[in-house]
Amino acid sequence: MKLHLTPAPHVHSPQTTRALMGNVLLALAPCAVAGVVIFGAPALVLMAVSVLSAVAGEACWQRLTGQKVRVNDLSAAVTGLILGMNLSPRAPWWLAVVGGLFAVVLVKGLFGGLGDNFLNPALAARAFLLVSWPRYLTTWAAPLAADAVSGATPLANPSGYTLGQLFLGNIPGSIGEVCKAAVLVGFVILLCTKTITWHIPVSLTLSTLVFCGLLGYNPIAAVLSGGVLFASVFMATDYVTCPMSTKGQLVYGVGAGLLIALIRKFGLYPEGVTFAILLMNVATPLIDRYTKRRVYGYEKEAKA
Amino acid sequence: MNILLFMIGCVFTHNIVFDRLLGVGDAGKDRRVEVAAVYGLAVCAVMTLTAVCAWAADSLLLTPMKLDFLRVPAFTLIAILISLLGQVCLGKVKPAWLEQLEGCALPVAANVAVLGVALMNAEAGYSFAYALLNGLCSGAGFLLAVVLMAGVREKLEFSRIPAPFKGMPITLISAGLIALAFIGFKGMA
Amino acid sequence: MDNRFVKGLLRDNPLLCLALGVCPALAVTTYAVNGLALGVITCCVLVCATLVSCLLGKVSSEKGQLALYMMVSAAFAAVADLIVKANFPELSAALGIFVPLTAVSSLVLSRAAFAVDNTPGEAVADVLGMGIGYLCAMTVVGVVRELLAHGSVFGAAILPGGIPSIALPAGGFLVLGVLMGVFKAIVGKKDEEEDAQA
Repeated sequence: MKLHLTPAPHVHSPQTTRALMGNVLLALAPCAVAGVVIFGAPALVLMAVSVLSAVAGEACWQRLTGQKVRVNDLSAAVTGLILGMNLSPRAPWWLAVVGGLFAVVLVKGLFGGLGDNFLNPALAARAFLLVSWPRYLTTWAAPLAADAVSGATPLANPSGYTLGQLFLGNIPGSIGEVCKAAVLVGFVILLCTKTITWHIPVSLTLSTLVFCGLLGYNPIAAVLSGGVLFASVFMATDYVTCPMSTKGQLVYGVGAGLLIALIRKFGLYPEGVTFAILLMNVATPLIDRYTKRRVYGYEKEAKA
Repeated sequence: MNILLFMIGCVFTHNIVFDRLLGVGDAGKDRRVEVAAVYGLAVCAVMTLTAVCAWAADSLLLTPMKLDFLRVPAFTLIAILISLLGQVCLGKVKPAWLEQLEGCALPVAANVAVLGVALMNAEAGYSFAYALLNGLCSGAGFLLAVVLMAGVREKLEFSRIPAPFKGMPITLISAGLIALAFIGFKGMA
Repeated sequence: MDNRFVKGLLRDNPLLCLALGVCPALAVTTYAVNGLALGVITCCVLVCATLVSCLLGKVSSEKGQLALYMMVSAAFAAVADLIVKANFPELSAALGIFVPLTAVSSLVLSRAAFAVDNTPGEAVADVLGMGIGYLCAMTVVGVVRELLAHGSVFGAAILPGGIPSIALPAGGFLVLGVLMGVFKAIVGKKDEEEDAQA
């Protein structure tokens, strides 16, 4: 019998993974619905293409490398959906295909599959798409709703939108990110199903609030602009790429918030969340190392 | 303010490994995080000292005497001497660290990054201050890169990487993904 | 395939199997012609340095040997830099500091010990195999990257466009890493077949 070593968390039974991923999909549903309501059919198409590409891509890769095809654990579907939600509704469909494949093959598959990657696949794919085809990801669409406002996103035009608009999402932006109300519903679902804990989303959001405020932005507007809430709930909390201890998670959240503020203020990219979380993903192994939980029953040696 | 931006640029935006592509082979070697930290510090020290000495040699000797073409051999020699010196000093002060480096002082000198930074300074005609800062901050960036990659490598220890990709291929792909993340620093300096 | 020369090309390909000379491969292969050029330059520096080191003979300490070899290759790298700067200014601008950096290229330095322990003839044969293997690999990576990034090969447009991010450092890492893995997979399969036959 081949013994397979993995680090915690040990979620490898397709049943358990499937249940977890099912919860995530459920939590994503409000955002997906909101996205379609606000942006219409293009949003639905992009999300569908993204999911299909991710699932098909993973199935093909697993076939190609002689593994059991495990797409029914739904992890690829989740990756695809999250990626789709990170796109501008005006993005061409092939962008979703490229992104989906990049995520499941390069960022996840080449490293061994579920649990073996060190970057969040959807986020890394989004970064790749952003760097490769910037204009497709930064051309926005006006929302369809009646009292919609067209024009630059809140990140580019902070004073152009009321907090109410930012919260409900009648604004230009990425499909899944705009409706913060839906994100919060999703957050509650994830908490209630015990899929995630509050530490990362809360620390990330608060940290962004504080640091953006310190750097001269309206803190509440900063948190409600762009993908901060969506990312903090659905992307930063990816088990595989975030620290395992609560102390580590708090460090991770604070670090991400700081980076978001710095990138938004001084960097080239208006968003910042994508890269901030990716950078924290990279730092996660180190964070884990230095915030190890004391194993139960182990006592520190008495100092001589 | 300019100086601060220059420093941030050297460490993050133009990170010597993830942007300037120097010292990649060394950064990716299989090491534990602690060893990586010591190695990074060693390279940083050698890089800074070499940058300074190379600057001195270039400004005071080579350029006035129109011997620019001797830069490469001269800087290489300087790097070798400094790392040998460093090895001796380290042996006296902290032998434990020297053991961790496994006596690889010369490869430290032979690091493409060390020579690269010295040459960059000379070709860009930096002043003493900027040459020193470039050496120091690029070194700091190298330390950061080495430690981050060691951390990621440790995480990947249990990953079921396909056989042909084990080792350098996956290290390079990881470096590529880290480099992708570092693009977030663009525009800061 | 026991032929040293062929080994340098395939099983022991310095770039794709042994991961030597990676930095230049990442930096200059944004265009195939640059990859080819630097491959040629590296090969020349490698062969010359090996030959001269061989002729200079063995030095007592291992460190001394390496230091001597480094100085010899530094000299040749400097010469190469001068030649390229004088005769191919555009190429020189494109390749930048990577020409003089062949002095400390891991490929060149890894051959230091080998240089002295053998006759000049053997040493040169060995490094020639590796040098040409490196040069071929650099060209292949250059072709792939140029095709993906700009849609052209050696300047001739083939595809309508490309993915510009492949020309960035991150893209370089990813392309090289994937090519290495694919190459290893192919060569590995070949080795298995041979071993099965043997």
